[in-house]
Amino acid sequence: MLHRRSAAIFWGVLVLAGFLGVAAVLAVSATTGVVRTGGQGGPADVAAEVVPSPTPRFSTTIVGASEAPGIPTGEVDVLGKPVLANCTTCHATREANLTTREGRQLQEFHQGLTTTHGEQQCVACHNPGDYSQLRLASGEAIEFTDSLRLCRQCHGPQYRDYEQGAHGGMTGYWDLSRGPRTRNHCLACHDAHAPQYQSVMPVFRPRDLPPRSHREDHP
Amino acid sequence: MLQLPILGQVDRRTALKAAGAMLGAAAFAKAVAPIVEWASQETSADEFLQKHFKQLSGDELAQVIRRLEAETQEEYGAEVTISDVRPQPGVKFGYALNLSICIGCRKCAEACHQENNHDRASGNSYIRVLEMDQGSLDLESGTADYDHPVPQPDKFYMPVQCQQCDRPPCVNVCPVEATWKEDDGLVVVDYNWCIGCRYCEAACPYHARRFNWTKPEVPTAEINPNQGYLSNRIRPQGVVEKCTFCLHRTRAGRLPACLEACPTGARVFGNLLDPNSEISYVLRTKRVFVLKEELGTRPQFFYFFDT
Ligand code: HEC
Ligand code: HEC
Ligand code: HEC
Ligand code: HEC
Repeated sequence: MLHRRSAAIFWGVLVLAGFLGVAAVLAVSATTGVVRTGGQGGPADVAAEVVPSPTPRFSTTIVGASEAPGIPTGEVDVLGKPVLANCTTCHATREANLTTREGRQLQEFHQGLTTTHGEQQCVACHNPGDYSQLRLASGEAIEFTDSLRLCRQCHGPQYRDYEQGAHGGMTGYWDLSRGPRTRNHCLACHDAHAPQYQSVMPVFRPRDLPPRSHREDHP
Repeated sequence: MLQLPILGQVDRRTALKAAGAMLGAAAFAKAVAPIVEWASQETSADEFLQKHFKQLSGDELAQVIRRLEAETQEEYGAEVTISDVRPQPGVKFGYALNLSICIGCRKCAEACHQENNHDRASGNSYIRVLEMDQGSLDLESGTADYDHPVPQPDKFYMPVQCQQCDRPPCVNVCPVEATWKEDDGLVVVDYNWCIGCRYCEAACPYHARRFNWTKPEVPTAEINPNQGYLSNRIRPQGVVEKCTFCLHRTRAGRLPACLEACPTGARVFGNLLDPNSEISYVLRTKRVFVLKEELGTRPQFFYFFDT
């Protein structure tokens, strides 16, 4: 549904389509403990009456996580699907360059990779010991499919909101005792290397407004 | 300059309304007959004689609904199901919108148009997205018909729809009680009782009500067949309508159409009475505000910025 992140990248020589296109789906349990931060300021008059939360009987599915990564070789297999080269195909025999932090520095390969995500080295996220994996600040290697854990370690506030359903949106049921819900992975909206949400042209320009001059008389 | 009713006058108006009610339904029907006639040439006898929604028995309502379904079939060629889902005990709906996230793409307004069977020609929607200058919260200075890539760097975007006020000025001014607030907080209209006087439209400080100038036209294939008597069924000409938080969906546990359509995740919806709901989390942890708080309308629609 939301593959905006691909749009942000210009791959000089490589065709990315199809690689990012398939959404990995992981099911997670529906609710998590409530974070009570004691933030004040909610209007006092809203929750006069408090009811017990209904038991969630349906689950939440997160879509748009990365798959195990690969680089399209330009070849297609018998089914017409692009043949991907494993990251380790090249990197198993290369010493990782721990200093690379910008797309511009890449001359030999991965040319055109846009990086506007803070001033971080590639290996702040990629596992230099095995590029088919990511790596947390703690040194723990994790799979690409588990990248929520990567985002979470540097973006605690957004992750907490996300976990509470207040960042990242959802579709399906507000009431999990009556039906399931689907949510987007961070990467469905934010490109890992250029995470700012992309601008768009608005749709559905209103036609039912009174003409301007009239509007000025009637605010 | 259009004079919006002042809230202090509500009491007097309520008194007038009570006096009017004592005239009796028959006298009243006679008095409004010319308006009804003007509003809809095609009003059937059944429709005209229909009782107020709250006075309909279960059987009578079922009959009205069957009639409306048949009329939709006849006039629009669409097979639709009209339901009357009642509020759920222990549920009060609240909605919140994160203004730091909204980019002003208007997908919500479009989804509303489709979900609620709005007239195609006028491009009606219950949501207006205002492009506002950073730092300003003056609704009247926002533009709704902007047409350039969004978000613009010096702007923010504020979708405005019915705020489902706890003290709704629109309800108080209705001379015939065709609009009221239900137990889950939703302000609804009985389109078959509304006389189209538009007092409510003028009374709403959020410009959230719409008037059906023409008989809505929706191509058969585009009609949303999942309809609610008090929400998205195709409205007759000459009546006022409004956002109901998609009650035909939300009272069945689903999310409103505008929330599902939002590509940015700026909207949060749920049960204010459930302390573990997403909306309660927002009210507890964010510095939320309501529009035109000084009017004392007590909106159940909240806005906030991430800071
Ligand atoms: C076709 C061979 C090839 C494949 C396949 C490949 N890389 Fe690379 N990669 C390179 C080369 C060559 C460089 C060095 C480019 C330069 O510095 O100019 C590089 C550089 C990098 C760097 C920058 C840091 C460093 O060690 O130089 C990262 C991070 C990286 N690759 C990750 C990946 C990941 C993740 C994948 C799998 C999705 C992958 N690569 C697949 C050839 C490859
Ligand atoms: C903030 C963490 C982060 C940083 C910093 C980062 N990456 Fe990545 N990278 C990721 C994630 C997460 C993915 C998986 C993306 C996906 O599936 O959308 C990825 C994917 C890749 C891929 C596979 C192709 C793709 O885009 O999906 C390559 C190649 C790559 N990164 C190279 C690099 C290089 C080179 C650098 C440094 C210039 C770098 N990355 C910096 C997190 C990071
Ligand atoms: C190692 C720490 C680190 C990790 C891991 C990380 N980020 Fe970031 N992120 C940053 C920094 C630093 C910034 C830049 C903040 C700034 O510019 O003010 C940033 C900025 C962002 C922004 C705001 C971009 C903008 O320009 O508005 C988004 C969105 C974002 N990151 C998403 C992600 C996502 C999604 C992931 C997981 C794939 C992720 N980040 C992983 C450190 C990280
Ligand atoms: C449905 C789309 C969507 C999803 C999913 C999503 N975000 Fe965002 N996020 C946005 C939008 C839109 C913004 C505001 C525009 C921007 O700053 O890029 C934003 C802003 C951010 C920012 C920048 C905040 C700031 O103040 O600059 C961070 C960091 C961030 N998101 C992290 C995450 C993380 C981590 C996840 C996953 C846990 C995530 N987002 C999931 C849409 C999304």
